[in-house]
Amino acid sequence: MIRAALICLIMIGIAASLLVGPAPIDLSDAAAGLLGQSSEATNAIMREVRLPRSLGALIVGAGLGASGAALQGFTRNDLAAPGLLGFSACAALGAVAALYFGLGQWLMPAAIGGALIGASVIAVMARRQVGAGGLILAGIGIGALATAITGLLMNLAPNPWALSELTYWLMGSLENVDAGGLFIAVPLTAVGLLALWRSGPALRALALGEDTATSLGVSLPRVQALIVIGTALCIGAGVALAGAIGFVGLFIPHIMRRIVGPDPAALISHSALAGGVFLLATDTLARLTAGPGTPLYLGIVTSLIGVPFFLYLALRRTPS
Amino acid sequence: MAQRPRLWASREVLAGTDMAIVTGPSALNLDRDNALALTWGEDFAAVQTNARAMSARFNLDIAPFEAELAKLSALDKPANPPRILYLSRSGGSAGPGTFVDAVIRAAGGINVNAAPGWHTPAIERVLQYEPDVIVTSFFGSDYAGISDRAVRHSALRRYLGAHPRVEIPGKLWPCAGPGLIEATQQLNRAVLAL
Repeated sequence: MIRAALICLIMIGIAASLLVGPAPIDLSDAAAGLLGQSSEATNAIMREVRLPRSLGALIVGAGLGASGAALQGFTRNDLAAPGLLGFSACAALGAVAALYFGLGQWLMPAAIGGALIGASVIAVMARRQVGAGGLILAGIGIGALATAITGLLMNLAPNPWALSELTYWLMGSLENVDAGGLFIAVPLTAVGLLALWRSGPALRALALGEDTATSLGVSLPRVQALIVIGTALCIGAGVALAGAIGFVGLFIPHIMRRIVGPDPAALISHSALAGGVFLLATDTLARLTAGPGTPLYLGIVTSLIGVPFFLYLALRRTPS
Repeated sequence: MAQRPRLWASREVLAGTDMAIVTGPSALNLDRDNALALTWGEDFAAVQTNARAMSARFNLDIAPFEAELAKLSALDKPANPPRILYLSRSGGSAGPGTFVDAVIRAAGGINVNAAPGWHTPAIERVLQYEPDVIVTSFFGSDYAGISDRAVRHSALRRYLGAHPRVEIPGKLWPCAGPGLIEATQQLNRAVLAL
């Protein structure tokens, strides 16, 4: 029921996203444009600009939501998220390194490579203390290192243009998403989502505690590998497509937990759908409120929404 | 990695020079006599003002330059002025009040971008322009940036491929610089050949 409602919301979100943009296009013309039956300009806008942007919002949001749910399930910590555990920072470092060295055309593989390398290092470090605690400590450490190196690259930017490019890119945006980017990002995100979904039953057992889960036959290293690889693929593809978009992986699973209950396996798929809905809605809102020539960066909007939520979670748990 | 120009010149750097030639969008006060401030302008009048300032300061003969500048008003113009769109590598464009607009008009064209000043229009806006020719710049640059949407985004690549395109070298576009004359001549030859 909830899943069906979320799918309906995705359909509504895609429709709204397709109808909003700087070029005024009415409903019938938009439909004709999607079918390639309108003017050349409208066909191009609908098929090559708005549709890829909508799909981009959907898959980036789904990847963030599912990753957050899986990480929170594995660590059994509501504050766990791809951003907090270093995945986003490693992906951003890969992308920023590509930009710094003038290899902008390799941005997508660099971001995914950054996420995978970072995730591998996190996984190797976490092996010394298999389980939630090890993953959290390793993730925070590697994430901090990646953030510091990203800052260093920006510090050493060869000129103001390069610096401004890096700064704006880190703010996150779906404006430049096109079919070429989706062609790479969609399959990678799909594989990542599949890996996260496969970890669901084990997460359900893990909710009873690591010792109990192990006694029930759950292999912690295998679950950890599934989650690390799945998150790296989702976050790497998402960062490469849209830059750094934070906090979605934190609060979407938390909200969905209130709606669908604490089952971590169910949370992954529901959070994927809800993440897609949220990013579709936020991106549409950002386009509606942005002024001409002054884009409102998506990562800024999601952070403005997410930070108060993060503080709420953090303060709520502070002992009085 | 190739070194690229750094723009953040400090007062300490300027203090170590015998002569400073400065320009900028606002008045600069360096508190020194051996400084020449050039006009930060967006039209041919500013080009001429700067040339005369340089001539007066360094005793240069700018008569050939002024003759070339004067010839611009006598350029052959197409009977039906073509609609022209300027698009940089990053997807930036220029409307009225910019030196690109001044060059387009001097070359005998009409700027289809009616939004004043420099800006980066949304991709959708660009796709709605229906120019006869697109003027591009910096497309030959070896610097591949993430914001190079005009060379990266599939819709803009297709759009550029579907219209006649004239590449004006980026080096001709310094603000209020003499390169605007050659840019105008190149664009004029291109629009007459359409």
